[in-house]
Amino acid sequence: MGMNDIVDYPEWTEDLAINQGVWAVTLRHEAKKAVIFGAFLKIFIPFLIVVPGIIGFVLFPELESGDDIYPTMLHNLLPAGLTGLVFAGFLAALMSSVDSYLNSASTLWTMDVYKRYIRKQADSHHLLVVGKILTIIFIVIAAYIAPFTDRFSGIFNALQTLLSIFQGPILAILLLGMIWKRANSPGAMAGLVVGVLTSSTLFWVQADIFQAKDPYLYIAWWSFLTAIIVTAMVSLGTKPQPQEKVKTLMFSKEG
Amino acid sequence: MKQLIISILKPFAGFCFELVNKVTPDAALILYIVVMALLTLWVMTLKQEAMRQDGKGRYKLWQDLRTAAVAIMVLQMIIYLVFR
Repeated sequence: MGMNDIVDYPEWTEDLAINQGVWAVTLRHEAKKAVIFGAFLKIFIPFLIVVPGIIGFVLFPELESGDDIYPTMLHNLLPAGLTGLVFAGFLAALMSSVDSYLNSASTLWTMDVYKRYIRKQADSHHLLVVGKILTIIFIVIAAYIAPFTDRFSGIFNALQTLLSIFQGPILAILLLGMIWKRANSPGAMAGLVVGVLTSSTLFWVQADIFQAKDPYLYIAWWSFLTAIIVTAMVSLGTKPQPQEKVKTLMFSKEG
Repeated sequence: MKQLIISILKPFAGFCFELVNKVTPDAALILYIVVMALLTLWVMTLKQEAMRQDGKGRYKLWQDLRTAAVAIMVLQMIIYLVFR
């Protein structure tokens, strides 16, 4: 349930790297088509990730880390020319993902932090320069923290663990904001803060609490549940949002 | 501080672990299928929407966006059932 409902749904609704592509289209029904087609492709991800992993595990049982399986299979099973081609494709996909996420992070910080709180009158050229500088800063930070993934049992687990700290609370406030008219900003902020504190605390004490070695799915689930409860309680205890303001943001069958 | 948090959470964590252990793999599979089936039913209740922008008036089932969404969810359910 943690993976299926808490970690995966947010990827489609909150992940700016995915959403930016959808927002780029001008027609709403085209955006819906893009998401549906993306979901179709996503179905085959287990066959692209899990099945090669299982094959590699059987063929090369001596490997100590799961992260070594893919390059080892490329090196041993493919002819020289094809290895280079697959590796080029792999790097192209990697760079495409990395630039999307750098662009998303830079946009978020430039528009939602720098422009909103630091320099409200900044023109577009100034913001572009700030965005570029932030991109370089994020690359340096990413390069610095990359070796810390060794503390986890694989890159995938490292990624999911870090995401699970935020995805549960964010899904909680997004979901309540979409379906519950009474949800408001103070409730969302409280839910987010308490949810992230919950997941951070559980991450801190995980070895003594959870039976699983990498319990990020459980952490995501509990932080989601905490955030739902806190958001609902604080929303009920504070002033509701004006209905005309929330009407267009809420789910309706009219689309 | 850490030990205090652990001592508070550990009994509850143990209780939850026992509870989750009682759920059989078949029951978990049924739960996944039910969630997907409910989502599929929900998609069917949404307003009809054409694949193409010019889809006005009556159009065929395969021109409806909902059909594509339902087909993908059914495919997902089949994968759940086959690769159990």
